[in-house]
Formats: sequence, structure tokens, C-alpha cells
Amino acid sequence: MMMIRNAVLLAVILITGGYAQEKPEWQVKLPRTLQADFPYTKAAVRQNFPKDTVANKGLAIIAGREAFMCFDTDLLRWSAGWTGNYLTEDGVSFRGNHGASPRIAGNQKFGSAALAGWADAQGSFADPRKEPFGPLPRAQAKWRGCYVADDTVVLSYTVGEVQFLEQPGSVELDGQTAFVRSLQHGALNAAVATLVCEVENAQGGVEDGVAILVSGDTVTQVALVNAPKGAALEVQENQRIVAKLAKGTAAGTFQIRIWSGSKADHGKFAALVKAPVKAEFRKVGKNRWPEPVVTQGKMNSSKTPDGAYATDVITAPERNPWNRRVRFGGLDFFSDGNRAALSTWDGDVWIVEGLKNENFKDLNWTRFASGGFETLGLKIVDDVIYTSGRDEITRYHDLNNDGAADHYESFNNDITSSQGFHEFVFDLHTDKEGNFYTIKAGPVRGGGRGFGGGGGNGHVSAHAGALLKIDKFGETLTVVATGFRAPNGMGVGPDGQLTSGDNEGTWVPRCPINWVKPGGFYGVEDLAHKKPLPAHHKPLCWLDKGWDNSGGGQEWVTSKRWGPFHGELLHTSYGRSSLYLVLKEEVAGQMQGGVVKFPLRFTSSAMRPRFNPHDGHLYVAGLKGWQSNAGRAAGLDRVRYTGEKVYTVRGMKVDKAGVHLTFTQKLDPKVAADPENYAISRWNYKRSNAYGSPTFKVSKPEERGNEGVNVTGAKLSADGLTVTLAVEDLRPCDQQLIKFNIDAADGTNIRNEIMHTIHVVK
Amino acid sequence: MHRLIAIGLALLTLSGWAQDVEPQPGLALTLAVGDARAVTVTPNLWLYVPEGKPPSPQVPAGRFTATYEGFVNIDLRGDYSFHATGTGGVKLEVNNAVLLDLKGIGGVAEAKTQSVRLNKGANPIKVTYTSPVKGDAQFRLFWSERPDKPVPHEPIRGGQLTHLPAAPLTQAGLVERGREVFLEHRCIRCHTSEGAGLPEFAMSGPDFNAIGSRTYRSWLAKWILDPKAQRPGARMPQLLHGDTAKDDAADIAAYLSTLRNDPPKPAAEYPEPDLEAGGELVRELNCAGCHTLPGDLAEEGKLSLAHVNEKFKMGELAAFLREPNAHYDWTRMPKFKYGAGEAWNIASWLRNTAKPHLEPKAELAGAAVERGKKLVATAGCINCHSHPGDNEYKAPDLKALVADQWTGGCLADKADGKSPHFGFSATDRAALRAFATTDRQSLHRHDPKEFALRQMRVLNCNECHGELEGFSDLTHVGLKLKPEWMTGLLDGSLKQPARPWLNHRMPAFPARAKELAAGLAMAHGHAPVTPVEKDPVNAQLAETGRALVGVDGGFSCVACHGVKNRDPLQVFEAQGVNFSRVEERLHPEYFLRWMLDPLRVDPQTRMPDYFDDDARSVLVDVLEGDAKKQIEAIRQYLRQGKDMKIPVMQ
Repeated sequence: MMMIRNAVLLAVILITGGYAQEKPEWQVKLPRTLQADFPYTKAAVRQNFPKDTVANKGLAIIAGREAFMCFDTDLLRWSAGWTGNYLTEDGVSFRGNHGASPRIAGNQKFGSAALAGWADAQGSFADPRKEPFGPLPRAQAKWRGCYVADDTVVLSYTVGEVQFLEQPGSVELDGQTAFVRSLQHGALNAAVATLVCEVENAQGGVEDGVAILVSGDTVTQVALVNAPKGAALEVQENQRIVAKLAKGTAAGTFQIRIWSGSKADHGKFAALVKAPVKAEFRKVGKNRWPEPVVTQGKMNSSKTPDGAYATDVITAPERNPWNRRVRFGGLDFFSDGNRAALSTWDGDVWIVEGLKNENFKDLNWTRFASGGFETLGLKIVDDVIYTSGRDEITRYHDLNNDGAADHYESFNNDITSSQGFHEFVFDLHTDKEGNFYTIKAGPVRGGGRGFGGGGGNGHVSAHAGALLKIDKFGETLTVVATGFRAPNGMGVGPDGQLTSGDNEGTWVPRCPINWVKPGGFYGVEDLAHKKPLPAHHKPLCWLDKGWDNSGGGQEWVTSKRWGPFHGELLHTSYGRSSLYLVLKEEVAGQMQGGVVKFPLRFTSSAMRPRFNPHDGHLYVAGLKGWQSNAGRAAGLDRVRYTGEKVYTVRGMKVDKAGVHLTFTQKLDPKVAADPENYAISRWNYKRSNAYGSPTFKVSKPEERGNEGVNVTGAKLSADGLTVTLAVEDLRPCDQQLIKFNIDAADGTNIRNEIMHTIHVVK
Repeated sequence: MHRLIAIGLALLTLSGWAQDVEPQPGLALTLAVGDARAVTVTPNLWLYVPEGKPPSPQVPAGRFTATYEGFVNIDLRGDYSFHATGTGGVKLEVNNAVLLDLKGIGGVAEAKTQSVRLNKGANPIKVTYTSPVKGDAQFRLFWSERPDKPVPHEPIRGGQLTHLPAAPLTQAGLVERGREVFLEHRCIRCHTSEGAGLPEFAMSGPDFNAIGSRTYRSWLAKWILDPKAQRPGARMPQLLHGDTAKDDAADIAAYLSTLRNDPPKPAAEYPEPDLEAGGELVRELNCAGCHTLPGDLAEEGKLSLAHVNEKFKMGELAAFLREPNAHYDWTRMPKFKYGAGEAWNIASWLRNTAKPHLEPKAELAGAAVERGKKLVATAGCINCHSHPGDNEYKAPDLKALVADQWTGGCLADKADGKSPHFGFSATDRAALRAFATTDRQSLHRHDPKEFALRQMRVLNCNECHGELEGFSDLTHVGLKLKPEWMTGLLDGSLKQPARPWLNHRMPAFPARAKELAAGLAMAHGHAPVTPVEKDPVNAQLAETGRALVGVDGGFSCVACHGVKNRDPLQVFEAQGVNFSRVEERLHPEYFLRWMLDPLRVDPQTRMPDYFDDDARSVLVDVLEGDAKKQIEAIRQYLRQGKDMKIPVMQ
């Protein structure tokens, strides 16, 4: 810890030429939600000018003692530079508010509108995108990621075919700060131009190599340092300063220095230009988090009544030396089976080591990466970590093998993102071909009804409410299915079958489990992205509020060591912190079914279920960040099969003969064949632009409420495992609840409930 | 099969049973005080009767037994236990087995049965409650569907209690209805000799003060001539008969139209209304719950608003909306708190939608006015409508009206040409006659719980509650809300409602508020005045409670609940009530049940549950992870009301 502090201080001293050694004011005042000991924060960053401009995928970089610069990774432009304080902590992942995202908290010195940061082949900076979201066309320029080395960040992007590295920094002299863009570039086979800044209502031009724009008492000056031959500054339309590099320029480095201040101080710029500012473009740095946080696990924190499944707690590093909030959003395992990586909503990646330790004693947690943009999904492929965030899929590389990431590679950043606080990008999976899948929420408005509308509520951009596929090389991103509202988790089956949950709300009458087909539309009309409106793909089932009010992810039971459920599908509920076995069948091309609960208790919510290939047990990670009955802010629990006999339902079919329930144990024939031991009620929903839906009677569709259905018979199969319930007036309904209180042949009581949906009775 | 058994059992317990009867909601309740007995149907197994007060209008005050009989219906065979609290003695029989038999529930005031297996379908239940020798009678029977779990007992849900209708119950129901018709039609205003102590005796009609400034004369004439022609459900009788009726009505209207504001109201300026906003409010406030709107088809039991232009003078409809009780304390029209311009917008929307009216110009002849004035004094108007002057109308003494006389006069099938004609339906006439055959001592016995349940029906509470989304179901409202809070809510004195963000708003029923609140409390087994909690707030527990509701290490309750002047952090759809308002509203035992499992209390709620069926908390490190202890800590925190400290909110 001391070493890091010293390194930071040393760096500060170097950059600022030996000025104040105390912590800068902004750092002292910084709330827990923002971190000072990492060089950047990703967010939709609002700037003061030009008015209403936002870097939707902003990289707010600490560029000096009290100097900050925000890079927009969509447009590859510097959206703002400012001094004073860092950021406001607005935003749902920061101070928790709906709506507004962080705003620059200091005095903005320069800025740019939402224009391309690098001009197109014609020299134009106009935004070439179809809608003002997502990255620039790749041929023009492309974001490649960044390198974090101690307190510096080096941005990597290509302009045309040419690789650029850029290191932001600053120089402070005589009370004035100049922002420094240090660029390293390859040989240019074409002229390129970069947008430096814009000043509104200004007059100006270029004098002695210094570009000047004057607006009122404010002067903005830009100079090139160590400029290659043919490089020049230009003032366009009395409002924009651009830097141009000529065709044929050899590979090299140069700097752009930007200053803004009052007319009285304009003469101080010369010294700021002369002051040496070193840029090393370092790609590796020391591990800033070398010491692990050690926690002790807890076994048997809960058990199913039959004793067959128990939860064990892998205690999260909620108390850590960096006072970082820990809220797990992604989980996967390394090939050694002893380690797992977890991403957090706050943008960190943690690695826990010790999963093979007996009773989860002495679990070692280390921080591997930080700065992610609400990274709510994580996948490990060939022991390399990938996360899904609002801005991109990031691939992490620890270049010097010191246990912390140095290279934050942008694996694919094609996803669109506006300012909306609700534009979560949930989960990350791969299929057997290696393609990646993630699912993006719609820009729900503050309060929960409707979508978009601008400001902190954001816009319905191309990928809002869509399930997305990214090929295994990160080259292409395609929309697989649309119409999701807030699907906090999905699943990919061994054969590639896609599933998702969703969250009750506008157009989502209850939480569904969606059996996703390519091209399918899953309900939210505002997010269909198709005209005319496609037909709604009915979910596998709906789940009533008490079962799930905000769905988590799904997982297929790939383990043969996890009891009798190999090959089955599991579903988690974020809102109810619960784990369910999905009972499903395909009838006439339509999937239908329901769930039965594993009555277990989780440390936090349940949203990222994953099997650990090493021990064959299920691990469930979750966070508590919005409405949920979760206990702690973060939880990682193992659901362990104990080897005891399992007493529950394992299958369900519905046909004209009735409801067939298959159990994991032989049943007591007398008790099982008594219809008095079963109770069924049912109801319907109305899918509408209201929030959720009341319940309606199935037999009287306009009447509110539920209705009981008579079980007229119960017949046990010859093998004693399947009960067929004869049900009066059995027919399709959105929701049916089956309660039973029966005994197994060995006398064990089985009392449970099934929540399911009937689309077809054949 | 079970139904047959059930009917067989009913035969043993209730005489006069009818064959092929369908079970009806609620339980049959027999109240006995000395030799006096009365039967009725009750929705639940709860009561509160202050010492010296009658347990129902049908029996006198005194030590009583209450025998509840019927069935408890369940949808799945299972184990249950029952839990009795209160004072006095209780015997509980289920499926003919005695589960509890206690002379006095005693000082600890609770008793719990062993777990008992109930069958799917109807299980006969009989509960005999005996009030204590001294002190108030209080009784509540709850049950548990999870007797093996350490969770509190719960109310048996409304639909789960049934009884088989039998002749005595039907007869008793008829008498109750007759009494209600009698009271609601203000019979006692004319037949004055019997009855006292009922709020209904104070209930008058609208006063005549300045009625001519509010109402058009042509409307008054039409109304007086035949109220039911204007409003089929009118409770005012037709008083004028024969060839002169039309002239009489015109003259009374002429006289009433001279009753003006004195001094006259200054000329008002009427702003341009926002009709769209007015229409939106009509929808939001669910005016159509009790009214048919102009242009809509007539609907039985609903007051049509088609006539607003014919009746109300300019500005007077808005004035009426703002102060519906200004001239009529006991109006059923509730009083909404309107923002600036809202009443005017609603009134304007209604006027704009209704048929336009042009008041005919008619001379005011002095003779007609004089004649009208005389008629007001002689026709019986001022028996109900407060108005200065002598009342020269006399009706027969109620005492003198023996039961078999309740066929003519006001109760005649057709107007007899001299008596006020109410146009009662055949059913209502039968009910009134049934009531007449009783000793009518029920007119002396006020039972707030009976009053409250009756008034809730009269006031159409269920047109919104339980019917529209976002309105709470009132079935168990007295278990939830403290009567003091209910009084404030009902009389309009609450400065701010519990959920100020809702579009719809609870209106006030000022005249009835106190008795309604007291009655609702008593009907749910709570005292009409909430006992003061003796122990002071446990500061240490309260501090733990504060941590539990906060973000860091707590349940993050503040995500949806505001605390004093602090807004909740991130509300999605369902904001929670501000924490400073909880203590004044909720009974502690309700709070515990609600917190343990909100969905069991309200299946539609968006409040999450943080505790499992074993009453274990997801926060295992606080107060041993014991749900009840954690909930009590939160309650101690909430008890501080406005003095609570803000919890961690980020």
C-alpha cells in the first residue's frame, strides 16, 4: 500500500514539477463511490459545454494533480478537459440515483461537441453514424483499448490503418494548467486530422504556430510540441481547433497542448508549452493491489428440507484496504478449478483463490482490474478474462504476470449506449463455437414506466433491449433477439440454446423465462426495433411476483455430480434471491413449463449461476444494487449436492389427460393417488404498456382475480414416479399454481409448489 | 362428499336449515345476552366490545357469548394451528374436535392449539367466546398454515370462512336490512318517538340556507315534484300529490329560490378552465365509481351527473365539489383535497360534457312565494331540511305504529295521495316490515362496528378499494391501521397522506370519520383507542434498526422508502411510505406480519421479503440473524417518528 502511495506521489511530483505534495482537494473530498487510486472512471460523462453534450462511453481520466480529461471511446474525441474537482457521483452505480450520470465537477477548460475525434477521408469531423450512439465506422477510426501503467493510462486506437497510442497528461505552472495529449503514431500513408477542441461564439486563427480562439474574456490556445514535418494547427469556422498530420509523415511522437484562461493570463501559455512533459507510453505497470484480502468461508449456511443440497458461503471481500464496494455482476472459473474471477458493478475484477481449500478456509481475494463501465458479466476463455460492460467487451491481459491487468483490450465496442441510467449490459456467455452472448436492457425511465425520452433516461438506441452475439474474434456484433426490458441474466445451453429472464414492468406483465430464438421478439414494444411490430414470442413460462420479480441468469446442469438433474435448466431470481429447477416440454413447437424452487438461502441475490467444472457444484454470484430481497451487497455461494436422496419434482407435462408430474423418488401410492392432496389455482395477465399486470380469471377473462380449479383425479404410474392429475377444465393459461402435500414411498413428506404456464393442451 | 358431511353437521347445529344451499361467505354468529339472542353473519372471528356496550344492536349490553359457526375452507390438506388472543373465555371446535377450551384466555391473553390436520375443502368450525365478567371484551382468532414454523399466526382469509344459510339467518338479515332502510331514509326524522344514541338520528338532509343562490328554480320544482324521477335512488320521498302537486312544487321552488346569500357573494371571475385536466381528474378520482358520467348509460345504484347544468348555478358545482358538506354534514359525497383550479376544471368538464341548460325566465309572483313558504312548513320539508320557521307537519308516533300497520302510508305499494311516498322496492318493504316486528330496541343501541361496516357499504368504499389498481383492499384495514390514523384520514385532517405520490387520493367523510374509524378497529378486535405503548423506545435496538434499514450492511429499505425529508434513493414503480409515518399508522402485530412476509399479506405488493419461513434473516450477522429481533429493532427505530436519525443512504 505504501509503495503505491509513494509511486502515486512521485508521479504527481514529476508531472507537476514538484508542487504541493499534500493530497489534492478533490481527492480529499472524493466519496467512496469514486476512486482516486486508479487513473480513470468509465461512465456517461456530462460536460458543461457545449451544452447538453455527453460522452456516452466516457473515460474520465485523472491527468494530473488537479487536471482531468474525458475521452469518448465511441467518437474517439476528447469531450472535455477540466481542473478542480473530479466528477460528481451522480448515477445509479455511483450514488444510486435514477436518471443523471456523473458530471464533471470542476472548471471545464476545453470541450468538444459530439463530433468525430478523427476526421474521415474527406477531412470532415461530422458525426457519420446512423444514430448518435455506438462507435465510428471502423475504416475511419477504431478504439482498441488502453494500457494502465501505475498512474498513467495509454489509449490505443487506429485511424484508418495506422496505430495510435495516446497518453493524456497535464502541466501546471504559475497557477495555470495546460492539458497535454502525447501521441505516438505509425507511418502515415494518408493525411489525418484530429479534433482538438471547440469554443462557441469565438473569433480566432493561428499565429506563430499557436491556434487561438477568443470568446469574451476567455482565451483558448493550442500548440503542437515536437510536431513532425507537415503538421499544422487549423482554426475552422471560428469555433474549432484541429491538428493535421500530412501524408507521408514517418512514425513518431508529438504533443498537443491545450490551455484556456482569461485574457490577462494568455501570455503564460508560452511557458506551459516549453515546460518538459514526459510521455513514456508505458504498457505495463506494477500491480497496485499486491496484497490479498483473506476471508473465511462458511459451510452449510442453508439446506433443502431433504438435505440433498446445501449452500456454502465464499465470503466476499466486502471489507478491503481500498474501501471498494464489492457488488458481483459476473462469475467464471479458471481451468485450475481453484480460482474464479468475478466482475463487479463498480467496474472491478476480483480473483478468488482457494476454492479447493477444505471448508473454504483462507480464501485469497485479489483485485485484478478496475475501471470497467458497470461490468455485469464475465467469461473466462482459455484462462483469459472477458467482461461485458456498457461500453464494450473487454479482454484483460496481465502483460508482466504480476497478478494485475495492464492491457484492457477492447474486444468489441460495437454496442450502442446512450446516457440512460438503465442501459445495463447483463451477463456474458459463450457457445460451443466460441461466440459470445450478452444482453442489454432497455432505457427504462426513472420511476419504471416507459423508455427513453432523453437526459438521464437515455434513448432507445439500436441495441436497447436486445440479446447480442459477438463472434469469437470480436469482429462482428449482431442482434439475435429484441424486446427485453431488464433481463439481468441469460443462459446458453450446451447445444447453443439461448434463454433469458426479464423484469416485470412496461410490456412485461410478470417475469418470464424466455426460450430465445434468433430473430424473436420478447415483448417490449418500444424495443422491438422492427416494423411492423413482430408477434410476441411467448415465454417458456411466466413467474408470479412471489417467485420472481426480477429475473437473473440461467444455467444448464452440465455436471453429472450434482444430483439427478444432469441436462436440466436452472433459473435464478435476482429480486427474490432464489434458485429454481425449470420443468419444460415442447408441444407443437412451443416451449412451455414452469419452475420448482430449491429452498435455499443466498448471501446476496441470485443472478449468475455457474458450474465449477472442478468440483461439479453450482456457484451462484449476486449483488444488491436495486430492488431485491437480497441480504448483502455481494454474495458468492456454492450450492453443493450432499449425496442425500432428493425429494422433489423433476418433470412436468401437460396434455388432455391432465398434468403429469414426475418425482425424483417413488411415491406412497395411497397418498399420491388422493386428489385431496393437490390444489390448483390459475390466472391470466394482460401484456400492456402499464407496469406489470393485475390478474384475471381464466374462465372470465375480463374479471379480476384468480380461480381455483378442481383436481378430479390423481393416478400414480406403475413405476411409482409419475402422478397424473385429472384437472377440470384444463386449458391454456398464463399462470397456474400447483400445490401438493404428498409422501414418498419411504414416508418422507414432499410438500411443494409449481408455478407454470400452459400455452398448449394437446 | 365433504360438502354432504358439512351439511349434515350444519343440521345438528343450526335448526331450520334449507336443503341444496350453497355455502355463503362469512360465519354464522349467534350473540346471547341473558335470554336475548340474535343471529347474524360475520366476516371474521374478531370483536371488541367496550364494557357496558351491546355487542350488536340486536341484543342489549351485558355479559355475552358469541358463537361462531360455519366452515373453514382450505385448498390443500395440511397441518394448521389456531391462536386466540383477548380477554374472556373461548372454546374452539374444528371437525368436531375440541382444540381449545379456556374459561379465561387470561392475563397473557393468548392461547395456541397444537397442530391439527385439516382436510381439503370445508372443515366445520365452531367457536364459542364468552366475554369477561369485568372489562372490555376483546377476541381475535388467527391461524397458522405453517404451524411447524416460528412465524406469527395470521388472519384466516375472507374467502376461507363460509356458512350455510338458514332460515333464522335469512330472517335476521332481512331485519338488518330493514333497519338500514329505516335509518338511511331518515324515518326517524318524522316518526320521532323512538330511538336515541345512533349517529343516524343526527343525520338530516341538506339545509335550505341560500339554496336559491346555488340551485336553479326549475330544477328544484322538478326535484320536489318527484325526486325519484330525477334520481331513481333518491331517498327523499314524493311529498306532493294530486292535481295541485305541480303547482305546489313550483311554488315551493319559487319560495326556495328566494333564499339567497345575504349579503350576496361578490361577482366572481371565472378563469378559463383546463377541460382536459378536468376530464383526467374525473378519471383519476374515479367519479364513475358512484356516478354515471354525462353521456353514459344509466346504471343502477349510481347517481347520474347528466343534470349538472340543470341543477347548479354558475360556479356552484365547483363550490359544491370543494365543500360538499357545506350545507349537508351527512352527504355521502366525499370531500377531496383539490389543488388550485382542480375543482373548477372538474366542474367545467362535467358541465361541458352534460346537456346544456338554459334556465327559463319566470316571474317570481309574491303569492306563489308565500304559498310555497307555507307549504314548506306544512308538507314536512323541514323535518329533514334545516330551515327557520315553525314546522306544521306531523307524522304518527313510531310507538303507535304496530308492525301490521307497516303496509300503508309511506310504505304503500303506490302513493296513497296523502303520505310521503318513498317508492320502496318490494324487498325493502318486506325488510322494513320484518324490522317492524322486532322490539326495535336496536334503535337505541349503537354498535360502532356494525355502523362502520354498514356505512362502508352505503359510501361505496369498495367501488375503489379492492376494485382499482393501487387502492388497498379494506378487508383487514382495521388490523393494519391504528384508529387515530384512520380518523385523521377520514376526517381530512391529515396534512399529508401516506402516499402523496399517488394520482388517486383518499377523500374525507368528515361527519362519519370518528365512528367509522372506531368501528373498523372494533370489527377487527382492536380497541377504538390505541393503548399507549408503555416502554420507551429502546435506543440501542433503534440504532440497530437504523443500520438495518440503511444501505451499508442493511436491507437498503431506503432504496424505496424516504426518511423524513430525504427522498428514497431509487424507486421503481412502487415507492414505500416514508419511515417517519409508520409508527402513527401501523399496529405492531401487523407490522411484524407484514415485514416477515409482505406477499402473504398482499399478494400484489412490490415490497420484497427479507426473511424465510424459519424467520431467519438474510443478514445473518445482526441480532443472530433472527428475523423477529431484527424487525423489532426496525420497529424501535420507526417508533421515533419525526425524531429518527437518517440512516446510511448511499
